[in-house]
Amino acid sequence: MTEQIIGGTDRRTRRVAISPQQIAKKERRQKLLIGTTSLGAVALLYTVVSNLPSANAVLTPPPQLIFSTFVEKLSDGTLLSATWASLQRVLIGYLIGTSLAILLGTLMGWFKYVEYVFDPIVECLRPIPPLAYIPLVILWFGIGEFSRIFIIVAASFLTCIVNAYSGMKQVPKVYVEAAQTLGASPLTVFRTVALPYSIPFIFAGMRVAMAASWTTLVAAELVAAQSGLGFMLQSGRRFFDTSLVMTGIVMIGILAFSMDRIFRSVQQRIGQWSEVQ
Amino acid sequence: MMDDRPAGMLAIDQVGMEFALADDGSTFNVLDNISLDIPKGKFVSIVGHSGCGKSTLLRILAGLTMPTLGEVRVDGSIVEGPSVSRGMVFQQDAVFPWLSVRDNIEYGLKVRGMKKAQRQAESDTWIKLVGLEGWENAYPKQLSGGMRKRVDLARVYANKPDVMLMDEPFGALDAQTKATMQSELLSLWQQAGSTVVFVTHDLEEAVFLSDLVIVLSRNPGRVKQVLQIDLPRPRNEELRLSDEFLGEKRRLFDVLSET
Repeated sequence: MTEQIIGGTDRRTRRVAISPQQIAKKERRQKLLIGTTSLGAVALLYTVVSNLPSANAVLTPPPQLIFSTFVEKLSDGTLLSATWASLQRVLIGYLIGTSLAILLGTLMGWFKYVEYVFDPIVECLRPIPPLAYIPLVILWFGIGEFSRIFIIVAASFLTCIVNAYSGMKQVPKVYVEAAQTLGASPLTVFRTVALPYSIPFIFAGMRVAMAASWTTLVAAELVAAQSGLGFMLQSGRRFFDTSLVMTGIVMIGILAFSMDRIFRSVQQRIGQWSEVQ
Repeated sequence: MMDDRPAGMLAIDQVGMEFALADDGSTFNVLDNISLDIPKGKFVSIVGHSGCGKSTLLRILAGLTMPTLGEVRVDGSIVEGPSVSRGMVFQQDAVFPWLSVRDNIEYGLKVRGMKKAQRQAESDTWIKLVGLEGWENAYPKQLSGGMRKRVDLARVYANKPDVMLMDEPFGALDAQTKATMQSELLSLWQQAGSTVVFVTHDLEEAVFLSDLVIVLSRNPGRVKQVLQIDLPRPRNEELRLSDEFLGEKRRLFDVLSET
């Protein structure tokens, strides 16, 4: 009896040794460790397979070959100039496309007459993959820089506008009415309630649009370009230079991944007020 | 203090509200021929069973809904839309989650173009009055439900409305927090002096807060009776258990249950 009580007291006085921060830190470490291991396993598998005596180095170049091609293209400047050409197109097209999408999408989501005018057009164009416009754009505008940027504008616009529009549509009525009774004019409500409420939605749309821009750019450059990463991939295929193709793929991966990361951190900061992140 | 309010008198003149039910032209009469005069500076509650149109009536007073018949006048001028002179506290959480406590409280002042220094002085006063010192820079998601309601009250009061319209503002709070908020509201009302129209279905709340309780009947919503609550002020927690208080609550209960 007494022993049990003492035992109970002992258990009760035991301190909780792990803080929530420590738990979170431990989980992050685990995630990173397991993630790196699984990625490493795939890399290792490819290394082993590509180095087998029976492997065809032309089709599956071993990592060391891809690495040396990467370094070679990097030092002779071709990789950087291709990257720069692609990056420029993506950024210009993306900035124009998302700006237009945010402008039109928010206005459409808020002012019903803007919605009545533009919604049918957007709804018709949206389900068509932007890649389907490539042949038409080439027929209309040729294979110049304008066509490539135009396609990226279309791709980022059509993916981003949906989010901007639906963010505005979801603004709770009570916020609008609260602002009105506090003295806000319709335009002020748009600026100080609807827009800030929609920013997390708009940002999610901008992130999707960034991915769509890369996809579309590479496709556009495969078809019609004399420069850029897509063009590099295509010339690698033409000359059976698989390690050049791999180099291009790796470079696109690095760029897309780092841009997405930047987006994620900005998104987290902007959406700090939100209950659900 | 109450008498130096320049304004805040409400005249509800034969207000009716019909909703169209379907395309065949059938209608539902929510409010029928409501006429009431609400004196300035008073604390007035509207009670009634759910569906009696009490929230609709409050929205009409706010100018957020237009009546299908009749009109509402505030100090003589007809209500045609929302106005800063009629502040509204909603049942739902209406505090803007993307603004800090301070920015929420300053919202009305800012959209009306008040200078930053003056705004800050105003919000300091209200933050102190609702007991949120130290939380100025917190975001609503970091606050409890009761604290968010305090932000909401301070935000509307900072705008210095002549009339405060409240739609079951404490409906979502637990009993303890609700009682505290009622006392705080009374002291805010006494300091600000504006007329309050308070919608609730909680009889104890209505008796504890009000000078006048308006009882609405249902189907259609009509004024059934106006009760005067003559309990002494300032009212405190002790009062809730007194015989006079329970007597008033009984009286209100009887009026409400008459058919």
